[in-house]
Amino acid sequence: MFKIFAKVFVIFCGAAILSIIVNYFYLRANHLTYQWPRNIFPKPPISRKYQIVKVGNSHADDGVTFDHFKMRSLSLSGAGQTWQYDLVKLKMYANQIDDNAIILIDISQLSFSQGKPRPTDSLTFKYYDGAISPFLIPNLQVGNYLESTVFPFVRATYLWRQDYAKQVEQQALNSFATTNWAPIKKPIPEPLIPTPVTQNPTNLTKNLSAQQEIAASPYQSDAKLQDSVIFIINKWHTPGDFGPEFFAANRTDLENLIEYCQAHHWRPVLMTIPISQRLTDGLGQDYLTTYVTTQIKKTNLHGSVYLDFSDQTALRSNGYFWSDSDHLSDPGRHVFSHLLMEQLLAKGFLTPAQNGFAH
Amino acid sequence: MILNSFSFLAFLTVLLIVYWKLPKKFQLSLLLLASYVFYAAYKLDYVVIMVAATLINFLFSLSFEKFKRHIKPVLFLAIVANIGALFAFKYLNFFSTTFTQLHLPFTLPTYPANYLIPLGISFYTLQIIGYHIDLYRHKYKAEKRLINFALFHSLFANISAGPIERGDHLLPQFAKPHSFDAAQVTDGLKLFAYGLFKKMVIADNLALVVDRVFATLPEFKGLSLVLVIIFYSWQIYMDFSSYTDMARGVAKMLGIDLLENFNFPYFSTSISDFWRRWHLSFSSWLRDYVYIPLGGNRKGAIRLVVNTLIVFTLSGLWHGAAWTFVVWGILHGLAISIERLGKRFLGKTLPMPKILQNIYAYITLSIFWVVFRANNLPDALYILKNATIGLKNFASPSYVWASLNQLFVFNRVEMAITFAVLLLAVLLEFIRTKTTLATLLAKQPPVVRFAFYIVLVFLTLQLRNSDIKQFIYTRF
Repeated sequence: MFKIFAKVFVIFCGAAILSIIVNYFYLRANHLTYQWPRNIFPKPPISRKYQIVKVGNSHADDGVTFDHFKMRSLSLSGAGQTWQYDLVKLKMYANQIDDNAIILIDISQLSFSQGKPRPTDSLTFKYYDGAISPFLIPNLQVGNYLESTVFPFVRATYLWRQDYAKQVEQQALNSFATTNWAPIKKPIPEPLIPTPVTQNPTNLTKNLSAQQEIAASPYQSDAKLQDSVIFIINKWHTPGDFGPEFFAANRTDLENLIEYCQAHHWRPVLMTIPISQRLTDGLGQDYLTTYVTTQIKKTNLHGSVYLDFSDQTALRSNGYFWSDSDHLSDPGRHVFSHLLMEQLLAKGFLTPAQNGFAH
Repeated sequence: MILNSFSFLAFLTVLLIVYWKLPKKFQLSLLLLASYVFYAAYKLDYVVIMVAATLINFLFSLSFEKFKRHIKPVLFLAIVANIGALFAFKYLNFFSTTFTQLHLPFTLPTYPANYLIPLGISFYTLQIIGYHIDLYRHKYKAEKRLINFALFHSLFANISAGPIERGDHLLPQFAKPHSFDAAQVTDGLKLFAYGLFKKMVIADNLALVVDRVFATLPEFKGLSLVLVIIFYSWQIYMDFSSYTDMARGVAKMLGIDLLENFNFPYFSTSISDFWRRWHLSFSSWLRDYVYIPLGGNRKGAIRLVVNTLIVFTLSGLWHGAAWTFVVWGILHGLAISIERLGKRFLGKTLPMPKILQNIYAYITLSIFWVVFRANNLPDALYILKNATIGLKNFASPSYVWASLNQLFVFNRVEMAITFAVLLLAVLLEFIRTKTTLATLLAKQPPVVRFAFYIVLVFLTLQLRNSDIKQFIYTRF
C-alpha cells in the first residue's frame, strides 16, 4: 500500500512541476506575481485596537461613514453579507477589537429574509480571496480553497483560457460596436433645488444638528429611483434567494452574533438604516411589518440597544440623499452618520470628545 | 459528493487506508458505513429513506423462502413497493403536470421546485427488483446476512449511476474476505484515473460548447448544429463511460469486481447492436426482466414490435421524467423493430458493407441523441430541421470558418482544444479495439510509464473546467 501511495505522490509531484512551469509563463504573460497565501489564521493582536466597528451588508457599507467619528474605526461590512458572515468577520478581527468597542450591527430590510449563500455562489469565493481564515469560513469548500489560494498553479491553464476568451469576446464586441452602435444620449440630471439660506455670520459658525443639516440640504426629486425600486422589489421577492423560510435561521444567526459580541465584552448596537420613501411605498407597510418589525420582536436581542432610523421622513423623501432606492449617496451617508452619532451620544455610548460633527 | 470532486478523493484515500488496515471481518461493516456517509453527503435526510428501503427489501427477500406457497403475491408486493417509491419520488411531478395539461378530471400532488430526488433511486430500484425476480425464479438463495444485503443495496461505488449489478455477481463477492492485492489496487487506480481524465478533459470540454449552443439555440443553424450533435454524442459517451470506469476502478481498489457497461458502442452496425454495447447492465436488465417475460420475439411479429416498443418506452421513461426521454426511447424502439422485422422477413442484416453499417448506426444514434439532450421537443425539432440548412455550403471553407467562429465565439484556443479532445476520444476508442491501454503501457519501460501518468494527471489538472460538473447519468 505504501509503495502505491509513494508512486502516486511521485506522479502528482511531476504533474505539479509541469503545472508550476505553465503557471510561471501565465504569470509572466499577464505581468502578475504569485500571491502567497495570506490570512490563514485570525488577525493577530495590535496595540491600538479598534473602538468602533460596523458589520452588515451594502446598506451599512454605503450608509455609515466614520469620517467624523474621533475614534479608531473598522469597517467589516460587505455587499450581500449575512449575519452569519458578520460573525465570521468579527472572529477574524477579534484580537484587534478593543474591550467595550461598539459593534454596529445593521438590521436591514432584507436581513431576516435573506437565504444563506450557496456553496457555488460567488459570495463565498469573495472570502476565499485571501480575506478570511479558512478555519472560520462556514461550509468551506476545501478543494476550491486550496486550488484558488494555496495551489493556484493547478488552475493556470483554466485562468489563461478564461482571460483569452474574455479578450476575444471583447474584440468581437468592439468590432461590432464600431460598425453598428450609435452613441447613447446621456440623460440630463434633474436639477437640485437649493434651499434658501439666510446668510448671516452666526449661521456660518453655528453647529447644525443632523435634522438641521437635512433641512438645509438641497432637494432633488426621487423619481430617478423608480427603476431601482422595481429591481429591488423583484429581487427581495425572489423565491429561493429571499423568503420567510429563512426567518428562523437568520434570527438564530443574529442572536449568535449578539451573544458573541457580549461574550467579548463589546457593546452591540443594532440599527436599521432607512430606505428611500419610494421603495418603502413600493414594498408596502406590510413588508416592513412582516419582514422586519415582527422578526425583531421574535429575536432575543439580549438587552442590546436597537436604533430604528426608518422613520426619518425628510431623509427618505429627498432624492439628493440616495444613489439608488436602498443605498445612501455621499450626502446621505454623511447626514445619516450624523444622526447615528447623535443617538450614540444620547444613549451614552460615546462622549462629546468623540463627536467629529461638532465644529 | 460526486466521484470527480476533491471531497470524494479525500474520502476514498481515507477509506482505502482504513479498509486495508482493518481486520478482514470488519471490511463489510466499514464499506457499509462508508456508503451511508457517501449518501449522507448528498443529503443527510435521505439516509433514512435508504435504510428504510434496505430493511423493507430485505424482509421481502426473506419472504420468498418463508412464504413459498405465496411467492407470486410476495413478488408482486415487492415490485409494487419499489416501483411505487420510484414513481412517488421521481415521476409524481411529471405525471401531475401532464394530467393538468391534458385537463384530466383528477390531479396528483406535486413536490416543490427545489426538491431533490433520492440519489441513485433509478439504479438501485432496478437492481433490487432484478434481485427479487431472481429469487422468485429460484436462481439463487436469498442473502440472509443483513450487512451483505445492505451493501448490495447501497454500495457507494455504483449507487449513483450503476452499473446495475446482479445478485449472483455481487453478493458472492461479499461472502469472502478480501486480501490486499497490490496489482489489483493499482489496476483499480489506473482505471479510476483514466475515467477521471475522460470526464474532466474530454466530456466536460465538449460540454462547454454543447451547453452554450443548447442554451441559445435560435442563434445557430447548419454546420454549427451538425458539429454540436457530433460533440454531444461523444460527450455523453465519454461522460457515462468515465463514470463506469471510475466506479469500477474504486470497486477494484476495494477488491470488488463490478460489471462492464460498454463495449465500443460507436462501432455498432445497427441500433439493435448498439444496445448490445451501450449501458450493458441496463439493457441486459430490460431483456431479462421485461422483454423476455413479455414474450420477447417468440410470439410473432406484432408482439415483437409491441414488446420492443414497451421496453424502449420504459427505457426512455426510466432515463428521466420528461417527454424528450420518452420520445427518445420510442425512436429506439421503432428503429429496432424495423431492423428486427427486416431480419425476420429478409433473413439478413442491413445489406451494406460494415463501414456503411457503422456510419448508418452512428448517424441514427446521433439524431436520437438530439432528442435526448434537447430541453424540450420543440428544441429537438428545431435542431433536426435546421441542421441541414445550407448543406451545399458545407464544403465551402469560408462557410465552415464562419460557422466555427460562431460556435466558438472566435476563440481559436477553445476550437483547438475541443477538436483535440474529440480526436483523442475517437483515437482512444480505436486503440482499445486492438488492445487495452494497460497492456500497451505494460510493454513500456518504467520511465515511459511514469511520464505517461504524469502527463495524464497534468492534463487532467490543467484542462478541466473550474466548475465540477455532475455526471449526466447521475441525474437519472
